[in-house]
Amino acid sequence: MTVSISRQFKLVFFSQTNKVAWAALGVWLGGLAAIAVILVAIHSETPLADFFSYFYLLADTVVGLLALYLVYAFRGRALAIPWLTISSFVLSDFIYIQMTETGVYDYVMHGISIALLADTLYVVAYLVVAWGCLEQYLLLRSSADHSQA
Amino acid sequence: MKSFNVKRYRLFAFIVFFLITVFFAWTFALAPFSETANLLILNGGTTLSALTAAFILTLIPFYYHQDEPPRVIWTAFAVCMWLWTIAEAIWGYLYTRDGEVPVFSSADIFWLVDISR
Repeated sequence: MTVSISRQFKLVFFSQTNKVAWAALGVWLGGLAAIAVILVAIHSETPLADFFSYFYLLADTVVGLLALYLVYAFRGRALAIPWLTISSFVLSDFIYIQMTETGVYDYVMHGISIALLADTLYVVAYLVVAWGCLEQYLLLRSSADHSQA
Repeated sequence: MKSFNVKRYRLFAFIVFFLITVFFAWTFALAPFSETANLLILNGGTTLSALTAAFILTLIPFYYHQDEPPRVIWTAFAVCMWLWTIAEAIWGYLYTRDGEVPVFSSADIFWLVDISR
């Protein structure tokens, strides 16, 4: 995901240097350092479990925000669709993790299980990504067919 | 020459995606089959939806030449989605077999590699 996003940024900004790759590395190292500081600060008794809960949330946030920026960079046009679907996917993953961490996942509201909504949302999020990629595929394939006609 | 019908592809995909979602939600809500079958359908549904995205993504890089920058972007994206699919499949298998998944499982290796690479 890092390679994909950083290459897309490099293309969007017409960057000829490795500035974007270094920025991506900096974001990851900074994120890992921030998690380490948090684990030490809260005197974590289950560092592995806490590491993962923070890491996935951080990764979802970073990927989601960068994908949203790419949507903005493409001005919401056809090329933005896959990135929009990726940002919606990581948002649903973020919500899912928060629900399981806070215990909301086990609630039942007015006879409707939150787990049912959360799990269905997760499946739908993958299918939304599939839809976004399908749009990209259809765009490329119809362009290729037009150029051959 | 037979023309490429975009609308037909969209309609087909919409129907398939809708049926996957409805079948998943129905199985989750009512658990109509045996316990093992329900678990297989629920975990398989998640893996199937990830697999669908991975399969479509794999087709995209072929529309670019080797030296075109978008080819790397879409190839990396496709690899990422395959890793996600493998992670979902492992998680689903462990959950179906044991009823719970440890904090760190082999699925996490794929998720970690997927996000960070």
